[in-house]
Formats: sequence, C-alpha cells, structure tokens
Amino acid sequence: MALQGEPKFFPRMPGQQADVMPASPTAIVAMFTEIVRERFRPANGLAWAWSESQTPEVTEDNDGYNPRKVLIEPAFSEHAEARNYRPAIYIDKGETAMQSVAINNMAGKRIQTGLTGYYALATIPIDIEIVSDKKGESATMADTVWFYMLSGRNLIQETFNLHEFTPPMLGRTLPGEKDKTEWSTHVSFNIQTHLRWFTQPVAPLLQSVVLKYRDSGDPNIDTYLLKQYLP
Amino acid sequence: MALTVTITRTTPLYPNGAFVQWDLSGAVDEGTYFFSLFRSGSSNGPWDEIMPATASAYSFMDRFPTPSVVGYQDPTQLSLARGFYYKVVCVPPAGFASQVDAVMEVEPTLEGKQRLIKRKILRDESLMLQRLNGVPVAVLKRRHWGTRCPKCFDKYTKESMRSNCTNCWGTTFVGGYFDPVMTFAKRGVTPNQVGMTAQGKAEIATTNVTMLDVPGLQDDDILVFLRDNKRFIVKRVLPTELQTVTVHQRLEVSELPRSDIIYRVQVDPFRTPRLF
Repeated sequence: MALQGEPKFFPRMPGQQADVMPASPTAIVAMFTEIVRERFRPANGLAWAWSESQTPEVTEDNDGYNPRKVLIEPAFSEHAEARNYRPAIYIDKGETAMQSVAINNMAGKRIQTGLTGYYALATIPIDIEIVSDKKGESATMADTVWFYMLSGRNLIQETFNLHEFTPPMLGRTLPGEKDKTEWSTHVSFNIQTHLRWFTQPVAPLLQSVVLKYRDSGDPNIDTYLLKQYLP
Repeated sequence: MALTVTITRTTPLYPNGAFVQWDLSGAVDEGTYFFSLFRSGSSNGPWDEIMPATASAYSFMDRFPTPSVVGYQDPTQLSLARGFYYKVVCVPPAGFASQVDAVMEVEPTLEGKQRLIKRKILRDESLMLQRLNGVPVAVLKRRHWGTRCPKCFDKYTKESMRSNCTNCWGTTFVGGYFDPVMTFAKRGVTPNQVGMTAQGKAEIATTNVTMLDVPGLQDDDILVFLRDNKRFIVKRVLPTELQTVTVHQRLEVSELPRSDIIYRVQVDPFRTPRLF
C-alpha cells in the first residue's frame, strides 16, 4: 500500500510499502538500490545489465550487445533466490547519527498552544559493495558505480531532497573466500537528510476543552463531548 | 612384438624446464624412426609441439620459456602445483599409419617391486571406482599458459575485466581449459551449508573426492560429474604417494553456484546437452 499524498521530493521511493517511513533505513536502501539499478539498465550498453530475473540467458556473452546479468540487491536480503550470484552489487546503510543545527534542535514555538517545532540533520553512511569472481571486474564495476554517484549526486540530492551528499569514496578491491575466491570493492559516501518533528503539551489542550465546556453551560460533560466529537 | 614407445624418465629441472627420455621396443622394420615431442597441461591435450619430427632422438631437454610472441603467456615452473605432461610420438619407416605414442606426467618413476605395488593399488582402486562406488567424471584442467584472451584480459594490469567471458571461460587464456579427461571418481555427500551474509543467503557445499593419479589435479581445476551435471572447483589436493610418486588423489572440492560460467563449458554433449 502506498502512502497518500506523498510530496514530490522525498527520501523515499514512490509506492513503497506504507510502513516504510521517509528517510528510514529501508527507504534509504531502496532509494539507492533503484538508483544503482538505473545505471545498469540494458539500454546503457554496459557489459552487465540488471534484470528482475537472475537466471542467465543462453545468449549472454558479457559484452555490450549480450550483457551478463548483474544482481543488484539490498545487503542481507533474505528473500533473494539467487545464491552466491556474481557479479553482484549490494547496497547497505550504516549507523545513522543525528547532527544538531540549533540549540536544543528548536526551530520555533507557538506560545498559545505550546506547539514546538524541531529540526536536525541525520547523517547516514551508505555502502555499496561490488562483488565479482574477478578482481578486474569488481574494480571496473565499482569504478562505474563510483563515477555515477560522483557525477549524479547533485541530481540525486535534488530529486530526493537530501541536505548533503558527500563525494563518494572508492575502496580497495579485496579477496574473500566463499564457495570460491571472490573479490569485493566498496563505494561509500554519506548523505544527510532533514529531520523535522514537533511536540505539543497536553495541558493547554485540556485547559482549552475545559474552558469551552464551562462556557457551553451543558450540565453533563459526557453529552457535551458527544455533541462535540460525534456527528 | 608390437612397436611400443615408452617414456622412461621425466625429470623436472626447476625452474627452467624438464628432461624427457624415452625408449622404443618392438622395432623390427629397417629404416629411420622419427620422434616428435609434445607438451600439455593435461593428459588429453591439446598438445604443443616442442620437438618436431627428429630422426633417432631418444631424449629432449625442454627449456622454459620458449620464444615468446605478443599476447602469449609462456609456461613456467614457478608454481609449486603446476604439472606438465609430455607425449612422444614415434613414426616408424612404415609411415604415419603405424605411429605410436606415449604420455607421461613430469614425475619420478618407480623401480622393481614398488612399481608393481603401485600397479596393484591402481588396479584395485580403478576396479573399486568403476564397479563399486565411483561415478563418471570429466576433468577440466585449467590452462595456465597460452594466448591471452583478447576480449577480457588487460595486458597492463594482467587482470580479467569480465568474469563471464565465453572466449576464455574466466581463465584469461583462449579456450579456457584443456580437453576434458573422462575418468571415475568417488564423491562424498555434499551438505549444503546456508549462511546469512551481507550478500544475502550464501550456500557453501564442500566435499571430498577420491580419484586415480591421472590426470594430476591442481587448485582451480574443475570436476564435472556426468550423472548429475554438478560442477566442482578443486580447492585442495592431498595426493597419496608411494616413494614420492602419486598413487591416487584425495581432493577437497567446492560446488560451484549454478550461475557460474563453468556450466556453459560443454563437456559431453550426449550426457549433458547445452542449454545455457
């Protein structure tokens, strides 16, 4: 189920499951997963192409005409049917840290009601891991992802209303052992999203209800409230 | 007595080459006998000619490296695990129709009783594998020298840029593997260990395989079990030796993921038709 009335610029994919809040870990990971998938569309002429189905094609030749399918998934994906698939790109998010930009994060206050608005920034590290059977391939694909992020970060920042998108860092390509030796390269960067929230004290609200009740002259509080809040 | 050529000695001369010596028996025709020597990384070839047909030659010093050409990686003996095979072809005076050949790995030979003991062990093992607990397997020996792949190999960094290249099957050498060697092997059960990693659910299925001494296997060689078409990569080789001569091999192997390019290498078109 999609959220109704989503704003146009929002750190969340349109139509994502309703429990996923904007700028939440799942929203951020989904966002960057889709962004990376976009780079590996078949029409882009790369030697690797993303597809919903990971079953290799008979015609795959790992070149621009018959690209090899690449798996692009969020990290720790428990429902993916493809196992040990390479080449693959995994998107993950690190620990979110809040950064204050105002004293006590306060953005403003309405004296009459006590409604107080707050604002802060959330810094979220993003990690994109590129895994391949070959060191050269892992490094080449990582370079593609790295430069894509580097060149597109302004557009991504605007599209998803991010406060900051730091220049991405391309890591070393290192080996690992699984069913056989695989190579992985990390592309990492930080993003900053806007955090907004408000608090409203309950006492002034209750006081307002009491005053309205006394002013109404109704002898029974129950009937008064029923009249007020039931159609 | 039929004409027979036998390789009597293959001595490695690390790191520069090997000495190969052979003998001829049953030579009854009068005239000149020509010998050619070939080298390969597998007992089934394909073979590179290193000594063209030479009259009455009974030994050869194979020196590495051979004169190099651009884009060609010469064979070397710089790895502890690399094995070489030599094939001697003898053409008698009667002509090519009567030629005989012999193949041998670079390995010491056993003498007298030890030779017979090895033969007995191999016979028993072979019978056990063929009649009792073995299954047919195709061995794909990985190429470690030859023409580098023009499609995926970068000559400066010496790295492959495409792991699923169908020109070299990810080995960086054109052709990828030597010709498949059909033999029998005993495979243990392969428990599938599923673990959660950052890369989703990972499956690792490792097991042990027992097989005869030929072809001698090394890490990264491939075993294709023809009954179930499961393909394994060799991780570790534990040879059983008799006076430093391999009698049989125990291997630690790991099953390859079904998306691996190895499943596209055609081994036996009758048993496993190529679909992917």
